[in-house]
Amino acid sequence: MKNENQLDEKLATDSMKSIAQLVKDLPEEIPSMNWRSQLNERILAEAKPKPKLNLQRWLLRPALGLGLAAALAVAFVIRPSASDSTGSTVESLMIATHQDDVNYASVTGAGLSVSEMKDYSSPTPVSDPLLDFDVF
Amino acid sequence: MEAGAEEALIDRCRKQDVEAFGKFVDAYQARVFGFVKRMVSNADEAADVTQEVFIRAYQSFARFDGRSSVRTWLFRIANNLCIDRSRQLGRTPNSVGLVSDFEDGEEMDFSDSRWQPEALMLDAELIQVVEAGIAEMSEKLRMVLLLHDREEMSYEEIAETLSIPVGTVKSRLFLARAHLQSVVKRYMTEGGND
Repeated sequence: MKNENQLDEKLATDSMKSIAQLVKDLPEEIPSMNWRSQLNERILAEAKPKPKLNLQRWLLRPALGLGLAAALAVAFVIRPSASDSTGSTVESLMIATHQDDVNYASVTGAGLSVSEMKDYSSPTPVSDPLLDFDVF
Repeated sequence: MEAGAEEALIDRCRKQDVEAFGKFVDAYQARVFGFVKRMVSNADEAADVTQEVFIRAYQSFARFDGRSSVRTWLFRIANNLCIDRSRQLGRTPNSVGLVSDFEDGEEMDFSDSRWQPEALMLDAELIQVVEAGIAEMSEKLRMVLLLHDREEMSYEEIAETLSIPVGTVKSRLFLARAHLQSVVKRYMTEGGND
């Protein structure tokens, strides 16, 4: 405290005050107009409204995704099983073959292959729809 | 600027009003630029840092709580950015540090007949001498000298701005002025004032 009082006294002397006045009287320099216009541009860039989080869109987006997934499921999973398997597409032929296999297996039981079963069930060879389809 | 008008301006600046902030820049740009220029000792760098000071001020105005004056708050930003820039550039401390010949309470003798402080007039040459004397100081002394003698901040405001005790502010101010006094005296005794 004593030291601080001594400092106060020293800082209050005329010579110290004259130095303070010298510093105060130093000329002031104003930044250039170019500097100011650059600053204005930066401030305006800062002031541009940033995209706010749209809550409605944020909530709708997953709902939209779920809806799309459900529609795809209906289109590719549910509808093909309901449709007839006698179509001419590769998929319908594969489904028809699979259904035949299941039917044969349910009649003949496990352990008998489709070709064996075909040999016993029909004397004339049955054309395989898959083999009929020229994939190459 | 009147206190009421400044308060209204600050309120608008808090709301990110660009026009109000432009007026705020008008009011403080020269002072901040002067402070920064003397702290970084390079006009181009000072221009960059001063822009950064105002950008930071604009960004954080909403958080300005008014516990300190807006000037104290603005110069705190300026001071911190000057220190950051100085650290980035890895500047070495200047020649006049915190310890000087005057620190022991030794009385300074300015008995030279040409040393007449009351008659000191700032001419172009003396301005250069004083500016050079300021540039020679350590950052810590320079900050206190500029904030007190140029920006007319109180000891308490400087203590708050720099997060140092008031007693430290006073001792740094004393050392800074003492250094400048010796620089000016040298200039005068060596015939610069003929």
